[in-house]
Amino acid sequence: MKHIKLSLIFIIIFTNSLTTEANTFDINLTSDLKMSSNHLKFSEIDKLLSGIKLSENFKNNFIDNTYKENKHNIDFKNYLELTYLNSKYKINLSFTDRIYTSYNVKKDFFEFIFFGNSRSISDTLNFNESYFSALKYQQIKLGSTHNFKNYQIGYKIGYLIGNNLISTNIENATLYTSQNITNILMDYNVSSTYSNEFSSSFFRRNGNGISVDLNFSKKTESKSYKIQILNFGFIKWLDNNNNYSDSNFIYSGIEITDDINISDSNFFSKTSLDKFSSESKTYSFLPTQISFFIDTESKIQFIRSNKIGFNFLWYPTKFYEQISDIKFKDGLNKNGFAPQIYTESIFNLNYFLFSPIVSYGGFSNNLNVGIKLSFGKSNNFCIGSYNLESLLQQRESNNVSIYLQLKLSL
Amino acid sequence: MYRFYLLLIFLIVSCKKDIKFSSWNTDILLPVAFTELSIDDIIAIDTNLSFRQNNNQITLSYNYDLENLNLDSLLKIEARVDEYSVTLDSVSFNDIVISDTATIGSLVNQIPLGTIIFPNGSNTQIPALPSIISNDTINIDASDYFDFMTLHSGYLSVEIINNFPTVISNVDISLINMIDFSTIANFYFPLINSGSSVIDSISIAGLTIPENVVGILNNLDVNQSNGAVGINYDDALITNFTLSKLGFISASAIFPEQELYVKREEQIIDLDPIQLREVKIKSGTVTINVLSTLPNGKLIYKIPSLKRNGTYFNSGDIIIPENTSTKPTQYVFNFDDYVLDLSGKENRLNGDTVNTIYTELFIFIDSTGALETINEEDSFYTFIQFDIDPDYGLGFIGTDTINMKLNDDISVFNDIDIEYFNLESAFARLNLDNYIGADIGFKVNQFETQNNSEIESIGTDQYGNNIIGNNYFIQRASHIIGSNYVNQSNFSIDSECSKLIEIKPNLIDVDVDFYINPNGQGSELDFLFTEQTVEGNITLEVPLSLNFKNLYMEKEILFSLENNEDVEKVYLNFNNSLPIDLHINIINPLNNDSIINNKYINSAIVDNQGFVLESSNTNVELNYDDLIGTEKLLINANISSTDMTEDIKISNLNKLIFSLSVKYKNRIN
Repeated sequence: MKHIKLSLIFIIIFTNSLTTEANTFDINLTSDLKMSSNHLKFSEIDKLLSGIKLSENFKNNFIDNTYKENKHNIDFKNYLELTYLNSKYKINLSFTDRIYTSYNVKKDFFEFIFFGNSRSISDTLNFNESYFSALKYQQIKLGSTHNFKNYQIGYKIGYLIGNNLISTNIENATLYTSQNITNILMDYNVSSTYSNEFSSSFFRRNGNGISVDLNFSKKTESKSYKIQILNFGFIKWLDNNNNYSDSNFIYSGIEITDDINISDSNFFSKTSLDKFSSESKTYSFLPTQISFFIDTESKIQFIRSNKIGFNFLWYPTKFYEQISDIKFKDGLNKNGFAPQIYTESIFNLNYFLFSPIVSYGGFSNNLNVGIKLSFGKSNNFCIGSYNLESLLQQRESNNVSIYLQLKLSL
Repeated sequence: MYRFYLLLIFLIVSCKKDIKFSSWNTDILLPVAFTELSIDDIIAIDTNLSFRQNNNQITLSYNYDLENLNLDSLLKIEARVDEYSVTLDSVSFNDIVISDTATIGSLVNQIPLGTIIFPNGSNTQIPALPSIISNDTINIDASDYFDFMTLHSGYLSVEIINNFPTVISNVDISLINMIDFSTIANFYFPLINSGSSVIDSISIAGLTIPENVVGILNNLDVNQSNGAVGINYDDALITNFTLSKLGFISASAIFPEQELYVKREEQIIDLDPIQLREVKIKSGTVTINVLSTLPNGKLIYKIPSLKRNGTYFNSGDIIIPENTSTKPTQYVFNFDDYVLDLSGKENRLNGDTVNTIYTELFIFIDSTGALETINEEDSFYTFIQFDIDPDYGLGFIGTDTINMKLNDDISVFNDIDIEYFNLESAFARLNLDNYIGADIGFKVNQFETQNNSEIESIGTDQYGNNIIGNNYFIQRASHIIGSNYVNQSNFSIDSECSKLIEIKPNLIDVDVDFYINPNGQGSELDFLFTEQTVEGNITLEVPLSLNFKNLYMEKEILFSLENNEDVEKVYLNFNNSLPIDLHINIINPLNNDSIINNKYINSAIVDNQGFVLESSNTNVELNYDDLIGTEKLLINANISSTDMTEDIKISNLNKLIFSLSVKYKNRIN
């Protein structure tokens, strides 16, 4: 606790020591980590990463805690932004490194992972409309924002360096195990892709792409309305391995004839599953955030403003060999992100700004309570989290996030 | 919580860090192999000539299905109808009428002091006013109707209605083309009495009429009135210019919607000799092919006799794009589950007919609201393709000959000595079920068994006729119209067949010709459901001699099982549709034929025809360890005549299906 207090005092002194005069050139260094899920708890993550053999009890409890759709997301961004600002326009140059993983799978998926089909005799396991995606990329953005009386229009063009993509899409997949285990009925349409080599180097890229940010805001006397589209773009992966499996069959084992011996070493070896692989250029789209919010100036002395906003996610979880194959609805289906509503109020407490945030939606099923503390004015240090409730729930929490920002104005 | 941060570090730095994931076991249940035990697996029969059982008989029965009588092609409708080519030279425009009005008021204004001399409402004698109008122009603005029009036929008429209170005379009008200032026509009317009208017209065939034509009134005399007449400034001289019976070579216009072609007619489809009244479509399409040079063609196609759920087919408006190649544009409509009435137009004059589709075709110039140019060579070519696979058909389904064959192996006689069969009681049956609503004749061309050196043919039927070459007849099936239920008719030929069995055959060969409607068209409507036509099967039944003691069946399953700690359990499943109880001994021959497991398997429940009503199901669960080192399993069974309490018929349709499955322990991580 003593170290925390000392750190806070240091931060306050550091930020206040920076000049508070209005400047036209800003340097902004931000680190933003969010992990959210509607089912996966930290206690379960602990167990899964503890190197032990999982007990039947753990497996049963894990399944009991799952839902029809089970969603999880990690979004970890670090970026450095340089901004030149005057009264008419603003020019930004930024560099971002981002890791984004997400999945949306059915309860039966975990049932199969932990118990196989041993508990599903005479039953169908349903894995339809599931996906897993892990994406790492770097991004250089250049953009500007222009002011027109009460309007502000901004855009950014980004160049993307693709480091790694692992993606699996299950359009439909069911597994039926007959009574007496005499037949297994499989019906599946699965596609997956992965990058040949993991690369985090700027110069050794696995793919490249472009992105666009757009924003439009309108100010009135006491309110401002803003709509923005962030990271609408795609990466063209240069050498991904794509696999497609689309089949529908009944497996009854091998028919015994006089000439066939049965080996137990590989039970599926004598079956021919319908599978097609290709190594080719692959296109994947970025998770695109679409936001709308209203910021209202407060008339209460200590409250600077109140904000209410809505976030939507357009994220096609599929990958494409032809960019023309993309359909708008692909970005809306099954990515697991429920439209999110949030409110944020900024309290001015002289030495720092205090911003409580309440949000609902996204990848979580819970109401999330967050906070931001912002020290300094033109030079500014901000620390926050969108999931303070995780401090209370501790190991039983599904969500965690931390936000750090250092802004220097020159 | 600390492991979460470990995960973060793992994600941030690389995927290669040594994070220790937990492990667990997943149990996969998997079928591995299956086989069947059937009549073909009878390997031996013990006999004891001194042994005598209690008169219960065991009969081996072989059933062979004849290949299906596929009659899909019989009712298939592939037709090309409604082929029309419409060129616009046959199309005429609606009449165009443009009016001009000259009132007395406007004329009086042209006379010096006219309004004083001839005040409105006065009663005055009008003096002769020669050339009161000369070289006056009348704008005939047709831009609302067309931009230009080159005509191969048409008339331009001028009608003058004289509502003046006096006679007018020497009316001379010229119509001038304002593009090249040529004279289109001259009209002269010597005298037009008050309250009357005159009309004259000329042919304008071969002329190009622009949107702007000017009429020049070269002269108009007003004659002296007969005494004082009422002066009303609103009385007018009305001139109507009318373009009528227009047939154009080319025209540029904002066309109103205009019907070019209408054809309502019956289309006869050539299905000879089949005469269908109605078919239900199992799968099918109707393709409308259109080749149009019009920039604004439109088509509507209706088939009132093609209905689903009471609603007939109507293509709706099909806007046809101007073609860019000689390949027609195709519009495909799916007609699955539609019912097509082939009896012609509803309430037709001479009563219902057959093989006839009533269709309606409408071709339009569509109103696009834009200036379009069309010419007489523009055409609209269309034809319709029907490609229909019916589910059923009603009518006369024709006369046809269709062949069915059977050629199959027989193996049981290789393993059983022929003396164990009671050949005197062996018999063969050819059974036919007719689901077609038509008379069926048939003739057996061949019915024989053979081994490697001998061939034996079937003899006589139950009526004493030689089966080969005899003509047989099956009654038509019956059917309630509106339902899918068919009450089939049945016909069987039975024959003693000891000779067929005696040679220990390894092959059976049967060839049958079927004749649909062998006596031609009957008074009843035929029907045919393509999914169910004639089903035929052949049964050979051979009783075993009564003095057998044990009948052995055996199946050998070869394995190559090594020590695999991932396999936990082995499941054996026996699904028995044989009408006999079985004793299964699972034997490891490598371990002095030790019995690993044995099981009593119940008989299936069968009816007295030998058909299975319900098979029995038996499971055996074994530890995999018990099977390690095994190279083969023997499943054997024996039927002892001493245990038989009733007659038993073992058919090749009845089997013991043996399945082997495992519980496979899959360790994750």
